[in-house]
Amino acid sequence: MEQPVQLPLPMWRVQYQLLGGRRRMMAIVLVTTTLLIVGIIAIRRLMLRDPFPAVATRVLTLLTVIQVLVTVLGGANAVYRALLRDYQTKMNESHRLTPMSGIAVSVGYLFGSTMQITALFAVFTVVGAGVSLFARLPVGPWLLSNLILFNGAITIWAATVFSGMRLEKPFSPAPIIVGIAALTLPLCFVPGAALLLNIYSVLFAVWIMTGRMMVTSPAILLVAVVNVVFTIFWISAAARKYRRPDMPALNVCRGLILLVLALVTGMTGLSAFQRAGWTGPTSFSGPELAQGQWIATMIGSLILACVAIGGAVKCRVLVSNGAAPRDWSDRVPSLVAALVAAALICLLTAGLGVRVWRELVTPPAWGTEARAAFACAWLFTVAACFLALLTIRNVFELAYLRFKSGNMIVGLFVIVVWGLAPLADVIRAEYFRVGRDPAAYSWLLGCSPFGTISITWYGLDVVVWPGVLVQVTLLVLLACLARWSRRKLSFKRLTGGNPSPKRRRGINGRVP
Amino acid sequence: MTVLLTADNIRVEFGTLVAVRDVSFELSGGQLLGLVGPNGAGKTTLLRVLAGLHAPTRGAAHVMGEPVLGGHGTVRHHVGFSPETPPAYEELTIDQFLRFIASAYDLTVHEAEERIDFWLERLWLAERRDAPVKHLSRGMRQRLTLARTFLPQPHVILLDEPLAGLDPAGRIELRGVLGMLRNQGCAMIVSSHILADLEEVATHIVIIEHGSIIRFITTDALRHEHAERRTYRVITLDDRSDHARIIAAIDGVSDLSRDDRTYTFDYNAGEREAADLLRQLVTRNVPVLSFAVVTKSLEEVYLRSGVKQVD
Repeated sequence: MEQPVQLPLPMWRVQYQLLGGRRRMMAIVLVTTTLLIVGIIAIRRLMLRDPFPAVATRVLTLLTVIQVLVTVLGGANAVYRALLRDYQTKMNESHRLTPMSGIAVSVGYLFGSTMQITALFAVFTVVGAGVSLFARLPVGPWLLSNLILFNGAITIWAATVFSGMRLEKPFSPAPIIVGIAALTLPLCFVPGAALLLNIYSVLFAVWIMTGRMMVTSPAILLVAVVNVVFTIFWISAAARKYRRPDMPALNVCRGLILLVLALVTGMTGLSAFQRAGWTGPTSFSGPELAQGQWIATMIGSLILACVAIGGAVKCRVLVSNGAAPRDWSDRVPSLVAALVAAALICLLTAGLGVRVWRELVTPPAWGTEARAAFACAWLFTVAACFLALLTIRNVFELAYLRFKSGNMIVGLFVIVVWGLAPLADVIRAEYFRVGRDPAAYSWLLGCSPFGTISITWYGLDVVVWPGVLVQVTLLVLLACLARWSRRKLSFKRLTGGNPSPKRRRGINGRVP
Repeated sequence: MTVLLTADNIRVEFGTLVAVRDVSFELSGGQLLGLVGPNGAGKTTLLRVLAGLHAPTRGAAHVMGEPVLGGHGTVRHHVGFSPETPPAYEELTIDQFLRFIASAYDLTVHEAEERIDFWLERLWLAERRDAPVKHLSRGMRQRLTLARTFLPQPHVILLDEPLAGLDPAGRIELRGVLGMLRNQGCAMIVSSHILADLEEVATHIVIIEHGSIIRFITTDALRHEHAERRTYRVITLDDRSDHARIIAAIDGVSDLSRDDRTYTFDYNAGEREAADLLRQLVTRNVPVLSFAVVTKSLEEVYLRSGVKQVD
C-alpha cells in the first residue's frame, strides 16, 4: 500500500490522498513536463527564422497566461470541488465532530486540495526558468512574476475556503471576483477594490513579464503584504465559520477589520495609482478620473461597512433569541457598530484622505481655500456616513427581526431607495446637459448618501440640505419601525403569542 | 453516577416550524436512552443539537459540564455521533478512512492501529479493510460509520438509526456492542424505529412527538406499567364459537379478541390471579392447549401513547 507523504495536518493529508496521492501527482508532473517540452520544441521548429530570445519571450508570455488560468481559476476550482465533495458526502459534518481546530481544517483545504495545482505551478515555473536560461534572458522577472501570482492565488483560494465553509451547498467566489474585476478594472475607478479583490497580483505578474513593471517597484511588496494579510483574514474567518456556522463569521469585529483593511488599502492604492500616473482605458483622465476613484472608494467603504453592521445585528438577534454567543463581540449593539463604522470611515478619510486628496486633485495649490473646501466636503461626508450607516442598521434590524433575510433586503434597499433617486436625477441631468443647462442636477441627487458624497466632492452646484433632510426623515421612520418590531417580538417571545403572559413549561423530563 | 450529558431547555426553530420544543434531560454514564417517535418528530434534530452539529435557537447541550457548541475543542473528544446517512470518503479504503479519523482525534499511530483492528474485527469489517468505501454495501457503510463513531472512545454516544441497513446478524452484533459500551459507562442515545432492538438494550425510553417529549420512562418501569392488569393469550384445542362467550363471561376479563383458536384478553395481573384464571377456564370446559402471559412490548406502549404519524 502506498505510504502517503507525511503532511503536517490530517485534513491537509486526506485532501492530498483524495487527489490520488504521490503516484497521481508524479504522473501529472511527468505528463505536463513532457507536453510542455514537446510544445516548446514544436514552437521553436515553427519559428526557426526568428531569433531564439524572441521565441522564448513569446513562449514565456504564453506560459504566463496558462499559469494565470491554472493557478488562479484552477486552484479556486480545486478548493471549491473539495468543499463540494465534503458537502455531498456529509464529510463536512464528520469533520465538525472531530476536535480538529478551524484553522487546521481551513489550512488543510487551502493547501491539501491544491497540491496538484501547486505541482503544476512548480512545473510551469521551472520550465519557464529553463526557457529563460536557454535564451539567455534574465530569470528574475519570470520567477518574481510567478511568485507574486502564486502569492495572490493563495488569497483567492483562501476566500474560496471562507465562502465554502458553510452547511449549505458551497459556492466559489472566483467568478464573482472575475466579474467585479471585469467591471471595475477597465474603468480603473476603484483601485482599492482591485487591491481588496487581489486583482493586482495577476496584473503585476503579467506586467513584470511583459516589461511594463520594474522588478524593484515597491508596489510589488505592497501587494504581496496585502495578499498575506487578506489570506490570514479569510482563513481565520473560515475557521470561525467552521465551528459556529449559525453565527455570522464576519461579526462586528471582523467586519470592522475588513472595513479598515479596505480603507487603508484603498487609500494607499489610490495614492500609488495616481503617483504612477496610470490611466484607465476610458475618456476620463486627470482630476476627473481621480475624483471618480476617490468617490467610488468612499461609497465602496460605505457598502463594505454593511458587513460589520449586518453581522452585529444578526448576532444580537440570535443571542437575544437564546443562542449562545461565541464571545463578547457577539453582544456588541448594532448601534455601536454603525457609529464605529461611520467614525472609522470619517477618520480614515480625514487622516489618510487629506494626503491622497492633495495628490489627486490639487497638487500645486493646496492652500487655505482648498483646505476649507476639503473640510466642508469632509463635514458633509461625516453627515452622510452617519445617516447612511444608522439607516442601514435599522433596515438590517427590521429585516432580521421580521424576515431573516437581511442581506437581500438591505441590498434591495440600497439599490431601490438610495440608487434609483440619484440615478433618475443623473439621467435627467444628462438629458438637460444636451441643452447646456447649468442647473442640470437637482436636490433629488442628495436624497441618498451616495448622492451627497458625489455633490460635495465633485463640487456640484446643488443644494444639499433638502436631500439630507429626506435622509434624516427616512432614518427616523425606520428607527420607529425597528423599535416597534423589537417590542412586538419581545412581547411575543414572553407570552408565546398569547395575550396572557403565561410561559410554557419547558422541562419535559429528567432521567430518574 | 456522573451526569455526562445535559440537555437544557433545547429549542430548535426552522422559520415558523418548531422542530424541538424546550427539551431538557440528563443522562449519566451507563444509561442508554432509546429515542422513538414518528418521522419528523424532531429526533434527528435533537441528536444533531446534542452532537454540536446544529445550533439550537434557544437552550444548550453540555457534555461533562462543557457546552457542546462554542466550547473548547476538548468536548469533541467525548462525543461520538453516527448520523443516519453514513459520511465517508468514497475514494479511500476503510483503513485509510479510519486512519484519517484517528489522526483527526489526535490518536497515536499505535493507538490508532490497535483500535482500528479491534473495531473492524468487532463490526465484521476486518476482511474488507483494504476495500474502497465506494464498493461497500449500505450495511457495510453503516458498520464503517459505527466504527468511525466508536474509534475515539467517546463517553457520550449518539446514534441515529444505527440499525437501519444492518442484516439480522449485524443487528444482534450491534446490540451486543451497545450493551458492552453501556456497561463500560458510556452514556448513549439511540434513535431507532426498530423498537424490539431498543427495548433489549435501552435503560430509558423517550417518546417524542412534534418536538416535545411525551413519554419518558425507564424500561423497567415500562415492563411493570399497568401492573394491576396483564394481557393473556390462550390457544384452545378446537375452534368452537362459544369459547369466546365463555371467556368473556369470566369476571375481570376485558378487551377480548379472537384470531382463529387464539384468544387475547386483559385480566388481573399476578401469579395467583393467573392460576385462578386458568382454573376457571378449565372448570368451564375450555380445552386449553396453551396459556401464556403476554409481556407488554415497547411497540405496544408506543402505539398506546397516542403518537400520531406526521403527514
